[in-house]
Amino acid sequence: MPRALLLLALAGLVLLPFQAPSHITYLVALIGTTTVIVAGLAIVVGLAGQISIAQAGFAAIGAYGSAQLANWYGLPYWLGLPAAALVAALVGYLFGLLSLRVADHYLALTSMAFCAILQLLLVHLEDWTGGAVGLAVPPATLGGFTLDKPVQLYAFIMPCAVFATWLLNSLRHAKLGRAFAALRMSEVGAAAVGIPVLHHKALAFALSAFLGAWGGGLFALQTTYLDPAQFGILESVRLIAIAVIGGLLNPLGPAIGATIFVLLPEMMGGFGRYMTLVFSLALLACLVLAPAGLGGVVHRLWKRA
Amino acid sequence: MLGQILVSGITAGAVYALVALGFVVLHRGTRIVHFGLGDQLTLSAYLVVIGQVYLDLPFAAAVALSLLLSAGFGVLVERAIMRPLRASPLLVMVIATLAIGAAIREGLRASMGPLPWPIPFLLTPAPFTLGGLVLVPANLAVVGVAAVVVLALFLALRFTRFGRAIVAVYENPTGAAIVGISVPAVHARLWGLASVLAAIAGIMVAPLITLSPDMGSIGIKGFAAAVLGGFNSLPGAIAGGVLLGVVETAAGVYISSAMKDVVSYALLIGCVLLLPHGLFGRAEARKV
Amino acid sequence: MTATLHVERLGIRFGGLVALEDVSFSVAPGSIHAVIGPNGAGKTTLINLITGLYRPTSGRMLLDGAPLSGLASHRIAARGVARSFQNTELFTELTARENVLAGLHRHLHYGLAETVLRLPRWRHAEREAAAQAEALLARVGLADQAEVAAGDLALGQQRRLELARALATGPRLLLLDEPAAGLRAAEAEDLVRVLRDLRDTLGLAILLVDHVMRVVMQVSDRITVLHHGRLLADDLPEAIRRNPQVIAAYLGGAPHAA
Repeated sequence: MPRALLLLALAGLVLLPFQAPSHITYLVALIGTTTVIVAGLAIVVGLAGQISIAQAGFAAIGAYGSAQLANWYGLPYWLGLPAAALVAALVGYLFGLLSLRVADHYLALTSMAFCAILQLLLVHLEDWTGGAVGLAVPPATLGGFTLDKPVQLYAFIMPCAVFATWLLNSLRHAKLGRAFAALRMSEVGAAAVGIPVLHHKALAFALSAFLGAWGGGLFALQTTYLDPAQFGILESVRLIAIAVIGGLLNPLGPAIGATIFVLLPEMMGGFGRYMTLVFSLALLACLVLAPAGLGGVVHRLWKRA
Repeated sequence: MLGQILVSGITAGAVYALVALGFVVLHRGTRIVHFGLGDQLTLSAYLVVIGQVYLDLPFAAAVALSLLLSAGFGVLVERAIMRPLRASPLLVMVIATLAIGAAIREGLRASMGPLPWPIPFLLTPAPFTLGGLVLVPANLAVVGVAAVVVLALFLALRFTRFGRAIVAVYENPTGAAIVGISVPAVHARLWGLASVLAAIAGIMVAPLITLSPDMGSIGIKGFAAAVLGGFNSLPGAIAGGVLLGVVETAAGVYISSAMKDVVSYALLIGCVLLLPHGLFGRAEARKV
Repeated sequence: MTATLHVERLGIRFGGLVALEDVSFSVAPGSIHAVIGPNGAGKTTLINLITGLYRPTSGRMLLDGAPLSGLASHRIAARGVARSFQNTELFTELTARENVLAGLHRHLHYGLAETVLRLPRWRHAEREAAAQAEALLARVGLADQAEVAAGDLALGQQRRLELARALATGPRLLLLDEPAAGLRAAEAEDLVRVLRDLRDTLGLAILLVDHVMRVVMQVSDRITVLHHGRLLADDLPEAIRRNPQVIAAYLGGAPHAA
């Protein structure tokens, strides 16, 4: 992989807020947020091969969790966000343990039902969540300063996105990533070399939920208003689409997918309402024609060079 | 009260049963769980509206056209998408069926708008009372049509060449291929058949709830019903559908109408965990 | 001396079907022990029992005197039991090197934080693991295929890779399920040499299940014969060769006593 190109991109990310209008800064930060959430999916679906249609639910835990910790207890975000993400990781781990009993289609179904229940609770537990009306997110504060300008949020969000991408890259060269890949390809083989399969499936869900919730918390800061409709099964499916189109096994896949899904609708203008349709069809075409995703295509081009 | 719950529950259950049948009919032959079937149900209902509003067709003709196009759509999906993916990992097939659902939903939202459309009832929704029970002709029609469809399906599987080929593939795909049945052709038929079952459910349920692009979320109820029934048993799917309808209605009455859906999703998760073969399904041997 | 593996009155039934019944034998430390028998004799079932894929319905299994029954597969692997599979269970999309590294999983001691921060603990452990993987691949003759995806290797190479992956776990007992099936004569010779080398240099106890009599007779220190899930004989190779019951079983005649 051309390291120089990556460094150049990083330098561009650092310089961007000084040059670009705040609307663009906001969009790039939204790409960052989406990258964090989708990086979680890349771990559980891509690396570990477990189907999860619950990522939007985990994002909801992070978003509502960190917002309400701030609302109720005045907990600052730099504490509330990790706390909510850890709770989500625990929930994810417990959900992952269910894979002892269910696999494949049934796991997908179960995660779907789980996401649906979470969303219904967001709507109906009005006292806790604001219900269908939604919830205003208090702005993050840091030592007396209020982080509410796009540039400030950008400075907070982008390092998270870079970290999530770096985490994906690191997993490829570590026992944990190999264990995930091993159980994706042969659970029997993984157990035979001493890898505890169930624990690692649950770990994959936990990591995925952690990143999902972290990204959800960032998303809350950006939109400043939460609505249960943003966290349903449909959103989970959209996140899967981003992961697949970006390339499930490429560490840059989530960033690539997020860039496409955030920027294209912006550029299409009035054609925007057809975007989700176009993405769904693109996803199908991607599956049938290029199973490794666009990220995979990019990866292959790099290898050839 | 109990009688009233049963009556309402069975109406909802009849619809769930048809959707569940669609899932099971397809899964037994192809091993595919079609996560977009709920959205196909919406598409079929919209096709009726399109036939009536844009083509000025009478209701019956619009329904016939919708069923025909729905079957064709199912076959097309099989040919264009699922057949090329046949050898792919399960994950890819699941994502593909999710994408089919998303494409339908968003296509409808973009072309028909996000707002609900009116669609006629099969019979009048004006209720009447019989022996203390409040009955709605429109609901009775739903149950009646579902019963007729189920009966027709079982007769077709038993007595027609079309049906017997399907049953042969269910029992033993290799054997079916050896005796000259084209398994890919049967798969295409199963996609068509599942699509038609979903279409009937969609056309009947649209007036009872509201026809909007998001109506497909009722598909997850069909899943729950199919899971209750064991996912590989046709009678199980029907029983699971009716049971789910009754339990859900009872939960709406005795717990709270807000928690109705939570109860049915929780039932789905609980059943998957505790009764992986459903209430009526049989365990399938798995080679280790 | 305690046997490396001691199997005592082991039995398992699936529903009404008796797959193994009342099987007892011992594998001595540093020996190659073969289990043979016609198809359906219960050989693979035996390996699946020892590695915890199945739970026995009766009897017990001891590894160096400690019971194995009831442990999960990965715990049995952690005790020092490694295996190969009849139809190989490699991680097909990973390279040969990564497959062996996955086998070293339990011997790598660092956490996620050390990985992400690229701390010395991670670097040293991975560097050492890479060297070990290199050596193991060389040992089974796959040094040049280190970067090839496991699924792209030829069948014989896949078998050897699975062996290297099993060795990476640091086993005391190695279970091989039909390692010689489908191998050409020269490859079978190689296999015999490798197995002897493992026994003599690493002191491994090896339990192998196979049909290929030439390999079994050549390499085994002791042979157990199963027939219809029961123990037919357990003896030295020369005695097995002359055993009339074994001959009858292999020629298709029913044995008079079991």
